[in-house]
Amino acid sequence: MTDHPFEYVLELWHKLPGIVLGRVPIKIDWVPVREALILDLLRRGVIDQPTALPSISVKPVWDEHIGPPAIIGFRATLAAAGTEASRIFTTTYFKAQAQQASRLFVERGGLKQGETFEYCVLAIPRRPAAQTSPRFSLTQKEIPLLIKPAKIERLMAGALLFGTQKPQDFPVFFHWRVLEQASLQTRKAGSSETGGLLVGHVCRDAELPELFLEITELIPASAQGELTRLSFTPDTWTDVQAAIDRRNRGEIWLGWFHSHSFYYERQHDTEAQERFDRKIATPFLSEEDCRLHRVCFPRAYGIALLITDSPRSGMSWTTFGWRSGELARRAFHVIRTPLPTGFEIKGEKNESDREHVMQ
Amino acid sequence: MSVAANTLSFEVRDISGQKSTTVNDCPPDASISEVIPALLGLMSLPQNDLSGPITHSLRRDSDGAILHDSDTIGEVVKPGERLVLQPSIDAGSGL
Repeated sequence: MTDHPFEYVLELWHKLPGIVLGRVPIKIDWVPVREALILDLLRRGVIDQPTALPSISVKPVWDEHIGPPAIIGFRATLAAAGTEASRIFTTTYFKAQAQQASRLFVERGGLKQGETFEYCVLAIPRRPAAQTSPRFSLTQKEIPLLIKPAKIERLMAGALLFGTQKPQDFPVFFHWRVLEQASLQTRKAGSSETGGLLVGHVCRDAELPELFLEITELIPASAQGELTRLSFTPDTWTDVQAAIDRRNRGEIWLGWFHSHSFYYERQHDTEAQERFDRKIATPFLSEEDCRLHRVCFPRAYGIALLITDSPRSGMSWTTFGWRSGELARRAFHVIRTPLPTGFEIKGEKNESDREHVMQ
Repeated sequence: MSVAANTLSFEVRDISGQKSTTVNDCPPDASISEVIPALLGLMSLPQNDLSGPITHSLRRDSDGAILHDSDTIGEVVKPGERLVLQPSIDAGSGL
């Protein structure tokens, strides 16, 4: 995965009055970094497949003011086909681990729940670690990614954009019925959480070049839903895979859907209590959601659809995806929507730079 | 897949079907709980984080049976068989 002679330590300190809380060694998860670089190469058309690629190289970017071992980030590089993808990842890449590490100091009493802390990352030369070998050997076999040739322009002609698209994000197209089904499933689940698997195709428009997703179906998961939790057990995955196999349409796993329902509020809150301080249900991925996404959808194209349903804010659709190795809210397109007759493209494509100017 | 003397080899895929590993020359008395950590390491799957451990299990692809941690490979896996590595994992608003 990566040949890297450093190990990393987080140093946390109390923002006020600036007291150092302590250091916590961390194990870096390099998979999202590697996957981000692979996606770069795939999108640029440098490689056809995310297979047979070398390890990434990682170099610390030292903090010029403090000096080593403090870093402000790291540069990761993946070389392939005579070129390379290379990117600097800042220390925000360690934010989730810093938040988790802060709990240790809350438990020890150095930090109170909700208090602000800061962190820095130290890169220290790795000490050789004793490793025990298993009684068997393992060989990794790379499975080619099924990539469908397609024209992005054809889908875009009938697409509706939700959210603000960032240039670094590849396009994601949802079939309307996927959102319809997910919304219905959310309402039927009432106050419990519900979820499922998003399947479809990774597509490549070779002319641009660009990679994009077409999400064609939602496979409801027989996950055990509770008020604020949804458990995906081995039986859930078995059932979901069996449903995909029965469809037999060459679809692959592209992501997952789950709901956050706030209808429980209605039973406990009264309008009088909150009349002047209206609560808004903000879409977010919890720590558990991020962990599930990392374990089950580590490829950089993995998408999470979240439906937030609240008596105060209504129902919203939000998607999250990998951006520079971190999970971030992102835009998506909806196609095959039940739009009225006459909703069609008139005129030719404008080749001017007007769209860029408007950005 | 070949069978060395008194050992067996089999394939393990991740749940998305996008990563595959062959376990070679595995002694039949190796337990499922001995095999899983090695697979997680090679497949770069997190075994735990500061929130706690992530439980994984192996499912036999042929009949969907979930293999128990204490089962030995010789009891539950045939040479060349395909298994699927699956997590037990929660999502949720955590509110």
